Amino acid sequence: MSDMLHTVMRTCTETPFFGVVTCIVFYKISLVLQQKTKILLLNPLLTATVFIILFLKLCHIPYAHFKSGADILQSFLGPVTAILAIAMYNQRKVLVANLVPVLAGTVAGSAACIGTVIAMCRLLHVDERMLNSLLSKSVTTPIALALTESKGGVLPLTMLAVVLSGITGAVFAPGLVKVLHIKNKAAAGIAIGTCSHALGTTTALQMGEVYGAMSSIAIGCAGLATTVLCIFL
Amino acid sequence: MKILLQLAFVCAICIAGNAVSSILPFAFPGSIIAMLLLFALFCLRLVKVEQLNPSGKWLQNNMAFFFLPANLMIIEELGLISQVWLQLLLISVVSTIVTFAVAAGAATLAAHIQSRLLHTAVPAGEGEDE
Repeated sequence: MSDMLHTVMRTCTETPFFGVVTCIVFYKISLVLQQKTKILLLNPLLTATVFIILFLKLCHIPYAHFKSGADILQSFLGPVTAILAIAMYNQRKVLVANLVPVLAGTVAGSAACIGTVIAMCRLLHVDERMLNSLLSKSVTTPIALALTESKGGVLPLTMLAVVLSGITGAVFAPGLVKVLHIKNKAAAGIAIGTCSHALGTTTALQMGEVYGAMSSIAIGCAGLATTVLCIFL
Repeated sequence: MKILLQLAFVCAICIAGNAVSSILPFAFPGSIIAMLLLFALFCLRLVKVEQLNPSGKWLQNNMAFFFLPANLMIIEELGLISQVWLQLLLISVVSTIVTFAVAAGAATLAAHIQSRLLHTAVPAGEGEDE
């Protein structure tokens, strides 16, 4: 009886559909969980990851079985990144109107991000692989993953750092604006988008329209600035 | 068929991006080149944003979902992460705050300089002796 159960379980999890269905189901559960609780820390991506790890471990399902389906979904990262062009194009008017501060803020911010990551990695004696995974930590996930891949870093480390940066920005942005006496709303918005991508932008949108608009624009620009700066490393 | 064609178009752009990336003498991710290519096509009005919908909207709205597999690669790196989680947390938080401060400072300064230049540029023709 348990032999038969084992065989059925194996057949079910061995198809690529298993990974696809698992991802969709747990992502939906996590989305609903955040919508109901409205807790920022319950980021659907984080909770879904924890749920799936527990699910695979508790049911003794080999990661390789899950991975064959997950790889299909992962191949969509390319199109998802390319499609960022739509958001960039829709914002082009606001971008052109604020070009100088946006460029200055995103380029300086990206350089500061890369600089502090390198300095802190050296200070804390972290190896090269981890350093290469953290360089892109403040930019939007698809660009960050692409950069880590081309640098030979560890994708899950990048994911963790990107989410941690996003949450840091989202939680501390209003306080930082006060403490650092940033009176220029556009500059504050640019800073939020540069340091904490879309997650921080959710906070920026709550702070006001100008903050939100400038933060959204800074996401793409900071991603590009970081990509270009990484060429020189 | 419309959706399939739109997806095929976006995937073709990605292939083109990867092709360009493989020729470049430095490391520049193909997917980011694909993004710039698509942006250029929009700007040149060769492609309209609406022509990519509903597929474009679908990819945009579900973007975060496609990061889930990359996140789950963590299963194979649990050993590494248990060693470095404190450094990871420290670097992420500190560097984000520094990035915020520098970006805000630079943007404020740039906006200030720009408005100064614009203000002095307008009467520049009449009152040069100031």
